[in-house]
Amino acid sequence: MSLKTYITEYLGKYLLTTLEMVGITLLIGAVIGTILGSLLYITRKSKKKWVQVLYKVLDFIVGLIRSFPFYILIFVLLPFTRLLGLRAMSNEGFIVPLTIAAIPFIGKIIEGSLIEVNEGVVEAATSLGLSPWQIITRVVLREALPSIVSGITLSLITLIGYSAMSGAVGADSLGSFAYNFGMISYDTAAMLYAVGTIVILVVLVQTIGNFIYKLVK
Amino acid sequence: MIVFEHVKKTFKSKNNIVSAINDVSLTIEDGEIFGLVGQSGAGKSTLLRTINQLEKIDSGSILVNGVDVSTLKGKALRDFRKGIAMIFQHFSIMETQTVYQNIALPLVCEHWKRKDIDARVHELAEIVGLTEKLQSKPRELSGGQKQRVAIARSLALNPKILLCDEATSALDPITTDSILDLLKKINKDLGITIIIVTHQMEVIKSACKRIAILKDGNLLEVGETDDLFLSSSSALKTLVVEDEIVPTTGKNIKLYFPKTCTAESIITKMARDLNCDFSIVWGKLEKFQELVLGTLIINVSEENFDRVIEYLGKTDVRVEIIEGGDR
Ligand SMILES: Nc1ncnc2c1ncn2[C@@H]1O[C@H](COP(=O)(O)OP(=O)(O)O)[C@@H](O)[C@H]1O
Ligand SMILES: [Mg+2]
Repeated sequence: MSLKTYITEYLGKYLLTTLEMVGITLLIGAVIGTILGSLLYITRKSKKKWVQVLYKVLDFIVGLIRSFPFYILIFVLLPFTRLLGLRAMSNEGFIVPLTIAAIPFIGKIIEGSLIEVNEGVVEAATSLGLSPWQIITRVVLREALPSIVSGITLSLITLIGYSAMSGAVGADSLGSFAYNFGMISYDTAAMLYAVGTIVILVVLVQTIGNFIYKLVK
Repeated sequence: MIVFEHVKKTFKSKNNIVSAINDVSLTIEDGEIFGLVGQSGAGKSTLLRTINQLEKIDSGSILVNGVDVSTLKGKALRDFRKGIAMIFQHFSIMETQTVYQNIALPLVCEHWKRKDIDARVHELAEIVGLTEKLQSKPRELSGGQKQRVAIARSLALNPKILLCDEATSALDPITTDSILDLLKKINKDLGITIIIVTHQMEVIKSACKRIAILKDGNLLEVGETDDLFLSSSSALKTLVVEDEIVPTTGKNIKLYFPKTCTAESIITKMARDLNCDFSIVWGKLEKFQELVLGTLIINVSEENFDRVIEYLGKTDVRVEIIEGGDR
């Protein structure tokens, strides 16, 4: 395959599907992951017995999903995807396992970022009479934001990596394109173009991530 | 007015129990600058933190302007805390926020109008002297400036009481002085009661009108700072680490000069009256707020010793005999 054919016929389509699946996943993953991460952060510190149990349970589930190899997770979740009324063997279907993998991943990253926030600042906020909700949203999450941005950037890059496995359920992405053309049709040039596109995408994501990091720091 | 009555607090961990506060009763008056002093681990911070319930007590009671603080919960506790400011050793301001945003935090959380917040933040910045720095991030500030931000933030909601937990311990001596000056100004101009936890002698001398001395969770003494300094029996002495190098011959006498007399007049008069020689070993002037007090060590010969002691006994000077050379 020539570079020209790649650019005119394939690049647009595969780039778009990749961005779409990764973008939607990141959006859902970041929202639920932030809630999950905050919940882990709050429950972890509590002195109440039942809250400690809640933390243990949450942490166990998170660990369980995270330890599943992603390739296995895709197949394990096929019935669940159908249950949601989505076509399992398609692009929309692939978003389900991708999101399920992203939520605990991002959740743990957010929890880690929140734990790093200076305990003294939390104490000062308490002494100012702020409510627990205000302390989490206006103080802890805000102070953790630079670290969260780094974490989300890392998550996005990981998701782009995971998207390569979309071929497993017949979904299209730059990664599956590289696999199909390079490994199956032995079109090395096509594979290199796709991989090159992914590299550029990753570098771009990292650059934007770094920029936002500086902005919020 | 803050009234502690038989306050007890223990910390329990897996394998030991620490009695951090052991039956402390104490009254702090409105408008004073009160010091809680003692060595590290004495229970100063714990006692301070019980006032705004960052630390719950096991038994006893704490009344703050008539309110029993142990009974407060939820919203009532949060509203109560808004009336009590607190600053910390490591400033505890938000690193990601500008000075302006830091000071505005309590106001934003109270849903003030933007215009009112702006006016109040500028007013507070004026008080602490940070008008030029409002748009700076904390990493661009010195330690003293960071503490000023914390002070401004803590004052935002017009508290009646300001709690300071080792607020100057991370600062150099000159910056410490400037922060203490600011605290004194706040105390005077705004009439805010200030309670200072410190192990720094300079802070006690410069700012605290009255102090309570704590040791291992016990309240050893409460009183006027200068009285405790002058009293040779005071537990305050255990806090002062001084290199008192004195001669090994003759007798060394340490004199404490109270408010009512000055060193020179007594010393020169004594030399004239007794017609005897003695040497001045070591002397120091100490400033207590507006008051200057002195300590002086003199060395006299064995034969003159009794006369000197007798003479000094008739004055207001307090006398302590120091054993030669072994201190
Ligand atoms: N959160 C805590 N858990 C267990 N022990 C504590 C805690 N806070 C303070 N202590 C103990 O209580 C005692 C008094 O501590 P603190 O009030 O911090 O002393 P100070 O401020 O005078 O240095 C110390 O022995 C300290 O180890
Ligand atoms: Mg302390």
